[in-house]
Amino acid sequence: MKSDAKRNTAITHIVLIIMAFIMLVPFAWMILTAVKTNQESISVNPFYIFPHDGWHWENFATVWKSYNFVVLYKNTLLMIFWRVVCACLTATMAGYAFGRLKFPGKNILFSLVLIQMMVPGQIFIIPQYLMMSKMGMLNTTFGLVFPGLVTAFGTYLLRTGYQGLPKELEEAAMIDGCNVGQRFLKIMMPLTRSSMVSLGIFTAVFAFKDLMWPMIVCTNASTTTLSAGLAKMQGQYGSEYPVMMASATLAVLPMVIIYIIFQKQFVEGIATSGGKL
Amino acid sequence: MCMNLKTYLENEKKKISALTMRQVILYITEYYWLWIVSVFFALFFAGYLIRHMFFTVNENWIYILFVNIMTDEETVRGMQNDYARFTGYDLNEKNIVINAASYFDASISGGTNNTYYQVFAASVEAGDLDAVIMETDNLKAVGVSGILLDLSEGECRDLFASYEDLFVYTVPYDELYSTSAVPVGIDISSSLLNKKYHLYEDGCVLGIGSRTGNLEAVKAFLEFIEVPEKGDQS
Repeated sequence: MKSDAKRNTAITHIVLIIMAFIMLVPFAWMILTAVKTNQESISVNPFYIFPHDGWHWENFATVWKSYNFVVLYKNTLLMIFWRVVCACLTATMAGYAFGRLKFPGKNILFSLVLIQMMVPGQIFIIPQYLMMSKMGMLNTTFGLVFPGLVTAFGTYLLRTGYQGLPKELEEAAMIDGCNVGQRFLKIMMPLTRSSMVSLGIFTAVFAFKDLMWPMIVCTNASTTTLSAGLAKMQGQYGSEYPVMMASATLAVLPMVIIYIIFQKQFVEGIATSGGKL
Repeated sequence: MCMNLKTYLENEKKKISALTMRQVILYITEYYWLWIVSVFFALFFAGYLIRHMFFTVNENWIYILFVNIMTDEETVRGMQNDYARFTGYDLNEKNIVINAASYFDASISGGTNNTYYQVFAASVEAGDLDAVIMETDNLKAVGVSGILLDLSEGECRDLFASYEDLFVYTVPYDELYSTSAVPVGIDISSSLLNKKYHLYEDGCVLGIGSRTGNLEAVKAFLEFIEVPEKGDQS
């Protein structure tokens, strides 16, 4: 019996190690290619996993010099920060209204929110782009943040969070004389912290990965983000894989750092929302 | 509601009248921090919007997209400056946008299933993209959707007069639009784009976005890259 359990644990670990290995290979390939010569990077020899001709850290210097990574980091972090703030702020208010308040047309309005979730995001690109263009907000941080100002997914997630809270809490607050704003701010909102953290993590990851919107609204190198900047580098270094991989390594750094800092919240967030990043 | 607010303010006034200045500040920051932060944020945001909407250069003289080229930022910037010098356009008034980060090939199956094509289509639909330059087969395939201007119609008639021999034709999908081939591009293979900037070694074609508002700037671009007009072509 005991040996069966041991065997099962061993099999589980082996499977997990293999899966972890499969997931880590692209990252390892990216980092190792970043320090190779171009010749080594395009070699089909399977034994060229590690650089033979020395570690070429100058690839990082080449990318750093030709692109202003400080600006790219700044723009990306600003976009992530404001999208997370706006998404959490609007979703928590809308989620509370849909989850706890009674008002006419609530179900119809919530259906509209759900419909928005079911429609591909590309449909909104042209109207959103037109709005930004007419407002003169192209090539601005606001332009980057705009599609993330409100989130249907976040509203749904927070509504579920608020619905899960016992109504006695709100009733007790009402007896104590709290109005609807106070009940929301002081009683209910703090209790949905875990849902908000999940939403914040999802928003941050999606904002970081967003390529299409930054490419549309930012034609200027000084306002673009890491993802769009990388796409532009493809034109310059398309055939120089080490340089491309060096820029990709630099580009993933902020997300890796964010993940290391908020590792616990990431895991909690995925568990709370039941989604995948 | 108005009375309530008035009474509320009177009550608050009474409350703070008995407090020292330090206590008043503490009371206000303790109970009204959210309002204070909100007002500051609203003011900051309003200022930000006003600055960008009214005091920043937002319009374009021209927006050109180069598809499938490998070039560096300096070449693009150089072309931008050369074009501005050639036309005399004031960059403090409007922008000249040359975007060289786009990679798709509509002539192959599934060649447009990527973000770059979606960006291109969105920019044309929004009326921001004025001209697009790509390989001949690619442009012919793009042109069938009607996303590019028919160069024999309307304000393009003078282009027809000048560059008719260089026109590239395609038959649109939409039979109501046309059942015969329509001109959607101008062959600019023998222009400065290849002679000076070496961008397309196998030749290239210029198409005009169907919603462009800067046709004159596109015509100026054709002159700038020295596309030989009818009579100059040998």
